[in-house]
Amino acid sequence: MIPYAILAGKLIDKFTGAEAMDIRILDLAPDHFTYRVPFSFDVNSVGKIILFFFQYEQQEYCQVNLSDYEMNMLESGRFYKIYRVDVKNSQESYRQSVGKLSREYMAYMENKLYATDVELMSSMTSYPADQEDLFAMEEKSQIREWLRDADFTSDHNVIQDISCSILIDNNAKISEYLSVPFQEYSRLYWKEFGLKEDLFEKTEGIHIGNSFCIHLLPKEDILYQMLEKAKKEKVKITFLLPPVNQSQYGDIVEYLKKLYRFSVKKCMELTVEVNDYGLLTLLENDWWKNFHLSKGIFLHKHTKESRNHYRKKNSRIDKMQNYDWSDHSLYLPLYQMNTGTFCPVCGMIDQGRRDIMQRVGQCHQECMSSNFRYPAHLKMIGKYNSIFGVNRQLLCERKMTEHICKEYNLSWMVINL
Amino acid sequence: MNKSDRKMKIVAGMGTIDDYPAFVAAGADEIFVGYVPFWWMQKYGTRIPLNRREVLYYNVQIGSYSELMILQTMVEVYKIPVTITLNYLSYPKESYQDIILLMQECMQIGFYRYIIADPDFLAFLNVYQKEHAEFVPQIVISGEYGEMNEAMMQIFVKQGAERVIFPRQTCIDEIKEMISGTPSLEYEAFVLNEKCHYTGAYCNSLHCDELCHMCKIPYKFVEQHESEEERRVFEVINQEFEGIGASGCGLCALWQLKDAGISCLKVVSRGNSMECTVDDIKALRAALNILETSDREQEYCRRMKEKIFPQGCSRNCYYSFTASEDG
Repeated sequence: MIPYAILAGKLIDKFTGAEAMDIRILDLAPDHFTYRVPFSFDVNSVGKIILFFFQYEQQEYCQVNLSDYEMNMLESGRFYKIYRVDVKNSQESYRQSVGKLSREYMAYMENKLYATDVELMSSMTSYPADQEDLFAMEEKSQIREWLRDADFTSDHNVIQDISCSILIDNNAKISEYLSVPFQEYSRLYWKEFGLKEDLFEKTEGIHIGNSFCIHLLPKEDILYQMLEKAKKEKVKITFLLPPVNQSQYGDIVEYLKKLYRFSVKKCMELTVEVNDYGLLTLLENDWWKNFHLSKGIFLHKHTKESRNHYRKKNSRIDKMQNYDWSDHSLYLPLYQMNTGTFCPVCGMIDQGRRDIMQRVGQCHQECMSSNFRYPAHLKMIGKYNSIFGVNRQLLCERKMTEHICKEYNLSWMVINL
Repeated sequence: MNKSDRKMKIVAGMGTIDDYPAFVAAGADEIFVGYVPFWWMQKYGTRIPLNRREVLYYNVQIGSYSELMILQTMVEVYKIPVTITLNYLSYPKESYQDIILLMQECMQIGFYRYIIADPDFLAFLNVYQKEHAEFVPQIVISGEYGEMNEAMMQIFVKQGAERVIFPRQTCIDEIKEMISGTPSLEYEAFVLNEKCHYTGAYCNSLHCDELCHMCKIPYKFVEQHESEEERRVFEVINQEFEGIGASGCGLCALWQLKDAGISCLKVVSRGNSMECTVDDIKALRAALNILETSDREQEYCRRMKEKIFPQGCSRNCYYSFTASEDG
């Protein structure tokens, strides 16, 4: 049976000219086809049949109007009736469309049944099969490589009204941040990735915490040290929280209560970016008034995929946005593509399997030294419990970045290297 | 566990209406389907899909309204209800009215229950319902929503949801805690097929015809501090296994799932052959029958394995405790 998504049909009423019924095509041949309708439907009122053939290259449907045909009932069952439609020779467009659809469908089926994933991908898209075995380097080298030939000079306009922040989301970065004054930390950070210091004029903030993994949140005393340092250096802070499982929920609420009391004692106001609706609802209660809540990237869902550009284009409906934003912040150049609540890194280390269905007990932060690498051309990074893509364009084209920030009313650009 | 507790239902996915009678005969208690009409395909294609089956070349969706009408006449005869899956993670705001229109079309002929994954759309639906008293869909929260703590269950109660499907990556002790905190909802858990490496709610992988899922992209795992001496040998899943639960199985966990308060068991099957799904439903029905007549968990597991897996199972467990228990 031909899938409906590649071949649809409509019966047109001969008296009103309106659509009487959309139909499922069952069998297809160059000179005829069969379809079925509900038992109660009367085909005597049908004047015309329209068929819609999917065209893979164009990613659109081709419409064929049939008026010269003969229709007879083949079968009348308990739930439906099946009709055979013989199309007269004059309908060349029908014959051609059938041929094209059949070739494309059979080619797909053959690939699906007998080819490997990569053979299928390269036959239907511009996916470079020959680069499948060329794996990326470790994370920092990989990022430096991607950014090395980026043209940061093409757009000199400094973005107005939008401040830059640096993401500090693991213990190694925290140690670096705590060891030097913020201006120095910022300078070293740009240098580490080969970025110019003046890439963003105003680096005024830090985003701390972690949006993906609860085990990477800083310990309380370390967090308070960071907050005190930031306050002293007049650096603005946003605190990131990941989605929280039931078993971690009580602990994280206690952690937040202590953080809240600390912030009140120190007269600090914190922006807290939350990534699950349960926690968001809790924090919306009145007494957390020192926390300014922001919905995090997981609450601004949209599809992001580094492989999308390999697909056949349909610019009318294909508007994939490969970047992450929260209520206040645009994250760049990395964007999240996939995340495992049950850590795939721990799964590999503990059980030799990425898909182990077991939550992390004692986390030893193995993801700091171990992770997944993917074919380099995909520009994918395995980091923590997640896969990230890289969007270099946002670093290079500041006008575009500014446009996105204005569109979503964002006040921070967060560098998340 | 009290043996007199209500029986667990089998909820199976269906790709074409032709499978419905066979699934009912095999023992399914409920069916879920995708419905993607041609007007949606013309306007949005699979680039903005209605559900996570973002394909063209498979029979995984009901497409035409006439098929939906035929299905409804089948439902009237066989009395096994059908739920429509609208579980794409995030619909563009401009498509909301179109989805409402689609739901209205479906409700006109008797399909009232919908699986929803997009939190923003669910919130929109709530507001729309308040303004349109005649619009009364029954809402099932998809496992792709990202529900993972009790506070979320309270939100679903307020939003008028009837059932919550727990995401794949949820431990049974957490399921039990969440259910005991909000017993007014009905709860469903994954039990057969298509276990994922990552969490559905946070998965941005394209699920299209022409590219494999992101989790199937080749990868290298690099342990930077591992020496040859430290390299361990792991027990791996049985890659050759082709029977029930080859791509994910939670049959050993039925006792604990029932004890936790799960009342519906999901068989992921859209895209599989009818024969495979019929076998899955029959196996799950057999396991449930054994569950009903077992006095202890160990007895259930032993009898179930003897019956369904006499040659061994896939060891591809949905709920990992089972792997360590049976050695």
